[in-house]
Amino acid sequence: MLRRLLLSAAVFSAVSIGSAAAATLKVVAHADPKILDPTWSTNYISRNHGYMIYDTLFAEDEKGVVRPQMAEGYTLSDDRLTYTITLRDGLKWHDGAAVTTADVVPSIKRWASVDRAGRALAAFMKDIKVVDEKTFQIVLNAPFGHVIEVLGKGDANVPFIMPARVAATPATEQIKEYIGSGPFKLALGEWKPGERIVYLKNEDYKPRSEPPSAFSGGKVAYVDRVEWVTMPDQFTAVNALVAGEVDIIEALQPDLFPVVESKKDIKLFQWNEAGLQSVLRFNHLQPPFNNVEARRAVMSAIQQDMFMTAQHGDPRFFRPCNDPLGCEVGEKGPYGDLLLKPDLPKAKALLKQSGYNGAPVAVLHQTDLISSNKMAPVLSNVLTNVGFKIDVQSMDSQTYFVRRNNRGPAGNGGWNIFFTVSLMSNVPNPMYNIFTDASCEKAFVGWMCDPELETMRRAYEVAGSPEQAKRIADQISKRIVDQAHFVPMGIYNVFGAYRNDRVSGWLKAPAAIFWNIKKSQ
Amino acid sequence: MKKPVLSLSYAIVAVILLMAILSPLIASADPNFVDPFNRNLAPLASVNTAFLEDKSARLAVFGTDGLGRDILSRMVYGARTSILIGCSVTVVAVLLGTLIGLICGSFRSADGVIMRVMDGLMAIPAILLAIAFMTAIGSGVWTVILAITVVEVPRVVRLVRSVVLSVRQEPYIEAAVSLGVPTGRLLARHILPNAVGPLTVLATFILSAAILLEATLSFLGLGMPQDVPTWGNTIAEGRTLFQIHPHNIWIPAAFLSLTVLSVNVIGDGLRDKLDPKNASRAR
Amino acid sequence: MFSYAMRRFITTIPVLLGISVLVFLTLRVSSGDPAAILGGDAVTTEQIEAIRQQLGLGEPVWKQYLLWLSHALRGDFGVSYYYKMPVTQLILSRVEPTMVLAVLTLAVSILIAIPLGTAAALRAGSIADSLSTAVAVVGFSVPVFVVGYALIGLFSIKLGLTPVQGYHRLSDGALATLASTILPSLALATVYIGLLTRITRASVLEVLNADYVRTAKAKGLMPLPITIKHVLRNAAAPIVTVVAMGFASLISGVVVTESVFNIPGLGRLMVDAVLARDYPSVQAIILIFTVFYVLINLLADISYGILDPRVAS
Repeated sequence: MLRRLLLSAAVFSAVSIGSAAAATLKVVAHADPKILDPTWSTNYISRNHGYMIYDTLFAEDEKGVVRPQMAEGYTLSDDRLTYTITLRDGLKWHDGAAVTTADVVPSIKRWASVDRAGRALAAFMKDIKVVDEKTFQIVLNAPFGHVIEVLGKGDANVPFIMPARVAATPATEQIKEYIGSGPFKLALGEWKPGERIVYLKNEDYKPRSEPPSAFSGGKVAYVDRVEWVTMPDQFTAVNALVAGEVDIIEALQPDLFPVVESKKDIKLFQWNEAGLQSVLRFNHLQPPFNNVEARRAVMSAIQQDMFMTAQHGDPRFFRPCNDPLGCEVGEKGPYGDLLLKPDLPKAKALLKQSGYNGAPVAVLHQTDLISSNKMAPVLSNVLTNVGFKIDVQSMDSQTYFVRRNNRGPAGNGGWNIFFTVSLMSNVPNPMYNIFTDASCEKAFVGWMCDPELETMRRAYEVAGSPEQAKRIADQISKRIVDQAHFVPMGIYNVFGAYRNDRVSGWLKAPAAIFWNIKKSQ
Repeated sequence: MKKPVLSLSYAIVAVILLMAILSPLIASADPNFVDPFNRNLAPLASVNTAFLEDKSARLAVFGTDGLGRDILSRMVYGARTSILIGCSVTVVAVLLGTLIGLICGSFRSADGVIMRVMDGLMAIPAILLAIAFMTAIGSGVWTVILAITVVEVPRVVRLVRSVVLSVRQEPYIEAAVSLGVPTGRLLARHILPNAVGPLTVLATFILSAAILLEATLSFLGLGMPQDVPTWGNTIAEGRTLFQIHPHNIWIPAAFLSLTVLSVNVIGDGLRDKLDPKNASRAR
Repeated sequence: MFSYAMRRFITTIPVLLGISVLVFLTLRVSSGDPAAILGGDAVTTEQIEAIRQQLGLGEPVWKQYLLWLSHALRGDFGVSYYYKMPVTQLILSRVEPTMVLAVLTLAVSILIAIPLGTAAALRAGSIADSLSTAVAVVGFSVPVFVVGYALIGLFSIKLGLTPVQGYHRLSDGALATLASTILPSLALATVYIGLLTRITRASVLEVLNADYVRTAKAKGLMPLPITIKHVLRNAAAPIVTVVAMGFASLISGVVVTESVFNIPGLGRLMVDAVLARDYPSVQAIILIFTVFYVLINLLADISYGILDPRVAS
């Protein structure tokens, strides 16, 4: 009874505020979304789009604890092999149809065929079946302690639930219909790629009664419209914010903080407290980095804070860390001076041993994402010094997301090195950390291939105790550094900026989310 | 054009030419040397590079850019790129355009076809034509030169052709033709000298247009590769921090504008000198 | 008059056809295999073959060209590789900002250049005369993007008078549109004003020296009515031609200005499309801009005929 009261109160407050005035929240997102399939792509802008229009069975709260979201709850059989999950009442697609388990099952299947953690789950899954409209079961072939955790994973690919007909799309193709059951719905007719994408409040959404916390709890949309507008650069964005033309910048480059710090109506907001890790990825399929010595040569030449300074400017916003699985605040990792102080003679010697033939190394340089667009030119300087011939190839981020999937030789549309980032909340956990995936051609781009590392990762997934898991994680970290599989480049924090005079309620979460935000006129 | 302005223009062009020829001697640092710990320094800042053997301070006359690269050095090497591209385009366009123009003016049979092609090329706005070529072949020095040359050649062809056609009307040429003087000698001895004056003027305007177009293409990200130090690239990179570090834009903008302005003033001066009665004619 | 217009129209047809061949070939040669680009990441060889069939890529080049042209004439430029939507639809969504910018630029240029040029011609050696020369030289020499940043620095950042960048659609209110396009059109107008001032000055000077103007002066008419009634009317023909010719610099300027001021128009669409190797969009925009340019010149020629009947006969 109390629950129902709370629920109706939440709905009532949402309606009353919504009807007061048609509020439009204008947001400068970190990129222009062109791929609207968050299962097809691990791209963060596609994930954020997913959080707008879709909902998830389970979701992480601010502390990373997984809580029911679309699910009412679940039961686990005594043999720990059968999970029975029930959906809560009132779930509806944006077209008005009810959400049923007939939608959930194919959504999970499609996601589990591509996502790394999903594939770990799929490996244990004997069956996933509909029991009735509101209930479905996951049956395992051996106990796997992470089922709910994986279904509530907050980072890409997020297991978003889509209608059955959409989820029937093969995972290798992008979906063509954008209907979800989340707190906002896509205004497809108003979508102008390169200009803006518009979301409307989903009036039929029934938020949970719990207070919102990160991705979990009551996802109440207080604004009627959210517009993500595309700006060609941060200069434009920050001035639009100062002029009041937009309300929020999802991520502002620290170089531009001086522009807003003096304005009392604008506040910086660190929505993702854990920060992000930058990494350098090698292409393990193509020379020279199919050779471990060449990879080690790169690793020996790198000084993280040089790259971090170029990218993030002020040392208040980043910290070096040479552990691929991340460091606690204040620590720099267990590998001595590695990546903290460069060893150029060693790098040169390693490069010689590798038998590098002087062929140009193609470094993909995406110019428009402020997470890593300065890394490539710095790397070019550093590696040229070591003796590599570097060919920096500049492109926009959408081209880059397509290009990096090319497995061919660098001279033929392929690549050798690119930079990317991951949420720190995933980094310490080898099951979620897609960079540690070494399953050869199925692995994350770069296609690391290391059966020994994969064995360790399997052992981690079934570890009996936290202590054992920690021990295995340490082995995994050592193996990655020893083989120079990829290079951790340091950890940094992201800040959004918003109009303090009219926007409130921006939630902390590992991604920028737009429910719970109120806007006064 | 007033005399002091003209002299100043010659002086500026001379300085830019010196920068282009003697780049390694004038530049105080490697233009591509990235020094993230000294980024976005204002002009006249003193620079210490922590990770170099030589720890002594350098003076960054024009400051440093977003990656800590020395702007003066980038300007000096940028002058080299601008001048290289500008001069190559001018030389190729003038030679090729003169050849085609002579053919058009001398042989009626070729004239129709070639002039239709030239009309077609001139019908496409220069920047679109250049962009189409850049898209087709990809960015790089030679593509930029080729793309801008294709844009400029028709102007030369038209000029030379009109000179040939008008000179052919002269009685002494008609006499020479009837006396059986070979076409080649006729062109070289009598017709070409008449074209030298107007061609020189046109060449200066082609030079300034080519420098401007290269910078514009680079600014749009469609010209020289981003790691090549050019004026246009430096302006493009400085855009984001324009508000806080405006020198990243003003300095290359000043180099570019002054160079183009000076070359244009010189062109105007040459034209007035060669053809005083047209001193006030618009070009 | 009508036959003159028809004659001029017919002569532009081969030029237009030539341009379409050029645009088609340049970009077709370069674009690699469009089927592979369209197919995306996880495409199989069979799927690529199917797309090739669908696009008619197996046909000889001349057949492909005719196919492309016949579609283009019906307003179908294919599907954008990058934006995954029909190019025509994409272009239509970007027309408004560019049109507003172009019209406003024309208005600004004419309002500044014609009075300035006329004043310069009436009083040789006056301040207006020196100013017109200076404006012309600077207009030709200072790149549009530098002017753009100078205007932003002064009017938006220092004085806070105009929005820094961005575009407000007409549906958001015409005043907002005007506020967001005034600086870009000023920047874009610089080249144009230079050109137009010089031509106005030269043509007015020419008319002023004509016998009938001297007669009017001798009749005791005041200088100002002379200017308006006789001079501008007679100087109009070359000015109109230059307005049209200057359209070339306007188009180049649009490409740059829209990038500087973040205006989602055709110019920026083209730059984005080139950077993304989106060949169908690039082809379509170049073709549209060029056809537009050729047609404007045609109109100028014809109106020249009307303003100066000697030309048509």
